[in-house]
Amino acid sequence: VRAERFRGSDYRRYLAGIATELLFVIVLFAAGFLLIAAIDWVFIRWLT
Amino acid sequence: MFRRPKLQDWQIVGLYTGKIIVGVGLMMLVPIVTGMVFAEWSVVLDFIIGILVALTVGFGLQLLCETKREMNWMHGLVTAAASWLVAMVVAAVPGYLSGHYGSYLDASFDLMSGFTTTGLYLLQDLDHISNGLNMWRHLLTYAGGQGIIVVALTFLIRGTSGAFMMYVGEGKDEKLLPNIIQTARAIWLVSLTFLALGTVLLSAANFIEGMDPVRSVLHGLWIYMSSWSTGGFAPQSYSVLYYHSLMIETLTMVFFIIGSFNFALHWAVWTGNRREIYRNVEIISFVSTLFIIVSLGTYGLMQVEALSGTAAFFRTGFYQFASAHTATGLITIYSGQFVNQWGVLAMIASIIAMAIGGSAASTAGGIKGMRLGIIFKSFVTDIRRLMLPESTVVLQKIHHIKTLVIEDKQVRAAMTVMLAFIFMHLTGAILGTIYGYSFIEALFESVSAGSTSGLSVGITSPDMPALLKVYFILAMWAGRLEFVAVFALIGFVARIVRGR
Repeated sequence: VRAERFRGSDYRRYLAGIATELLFVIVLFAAGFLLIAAIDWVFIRWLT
Repeated sequence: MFRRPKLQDWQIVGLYTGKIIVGVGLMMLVPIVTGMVFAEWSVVLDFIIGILVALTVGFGLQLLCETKREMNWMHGLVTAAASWLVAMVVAAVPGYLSGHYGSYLDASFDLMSGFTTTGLYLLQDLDHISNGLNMWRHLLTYAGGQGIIVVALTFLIRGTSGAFMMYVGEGKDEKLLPNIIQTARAIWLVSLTFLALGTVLLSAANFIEGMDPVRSVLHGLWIYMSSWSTGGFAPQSYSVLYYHSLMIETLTMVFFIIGSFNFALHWAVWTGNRREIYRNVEIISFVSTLFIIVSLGTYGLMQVEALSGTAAFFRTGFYQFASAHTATGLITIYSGQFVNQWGVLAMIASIIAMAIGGSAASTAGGIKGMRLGIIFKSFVTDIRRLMLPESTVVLQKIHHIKTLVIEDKQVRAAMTVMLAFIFMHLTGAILGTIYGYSFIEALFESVSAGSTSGLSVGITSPDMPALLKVYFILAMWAGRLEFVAVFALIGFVARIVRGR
């Protein structure tokens, strides 16, 4: 069982998993920032 | 007619509740050690009394209820619901003895808030409490994020066939591995690995921002625990605003977003299935609803001119909306700003975000992305059915670790839980309105408690009416357990009266 027997290959896979999750959140932040920038631009350009 | 519970039913529930209370009692060793390290002897004494009470109740229940009978489905659910209530009452002892609470009810409120990873608190003078008590608050929220039954399954309960039922009763119904004990350990492996990473990063950030080394590590550990478990407790009354640090805000946001993911998703990604992170129905649901909420909320903030500039909207707006959507409750604004500056639209966006919450089988609360995904898919499928010939068979599919076909009973279950949440939120809002708060403020606070978010507009305070405190305790408890175990406990109690 992977949860109990630690092998070198498991560690590498776990680290790759952590890196994937962190990368996902960074992409999410970037997308969120672009979304807010777009709303800001639309608001200033069209709605005020 | 239902069968009235017999002595052996009580014994099984009592036996396992006792085991869980022993587990909660042993957790108090951590604040005792912390108190010793910092020479906080009154804290050490409070927790020694607390641990003695917990062990007496825990072992007492096990002795009184000793039985060799196996647990069934109903016992597991009832034990899950009952153990959280008993744990709250027992584990509130050291907090009450600390002198930072106005009453035992207030101490119990904070205990339930910690265990359910809510983050609302009634503790007084937070900025001057001991390191031991702070360690206890954050440990509660960290252990509660994984689930106190997961704690017990990992260390105290071995190989029982009823273990899975208790685990389900705690609001987690996914096996990461074939065996439930191994699943509990896998959950701890993920949590402890991120604990090490998060504590190092946040401690370093605190140190860079100018804190002394010991305080950097303590605050790093506590803020990490609170972020990962989507808890919302913080060592300072100004929450994350206290730090005025972009680095700490970013790191906490990273960890509470990752903390709101399903443990099954973590395990899939960690064991090689990395594509799962963008295919999973809960992630698609989370990203979609987060962006809708951010759009709505940002527009609302612009309307009332609460902030200016994209960077400010991102740093302040996105943080609060992400905190709400992951049911975390950490904030970088003053709680009064929600009412005084944010305007109704941004408040509504926050309320919707809190109500939805994070992923199923995660540390987060709320209706959950999985249920929303199932309901949305069912809605789309029903529309497709209308367009197609009557004889066409339309399958509803979602992707969660593997492709799953949704059955009508799953849609019904998701709808039932969603309706139960809505009913609970509205009841709390009406109760708050009866006590004189505006409906939107009362709804905000009610949703925050029921979805175990912890954001507050200021209603939650030691001066809050006692009935509202009791209601919020029950809302946090029912919301965290996602009703099933609570319904089972109500049914168990009803059978005492109505059964034969």
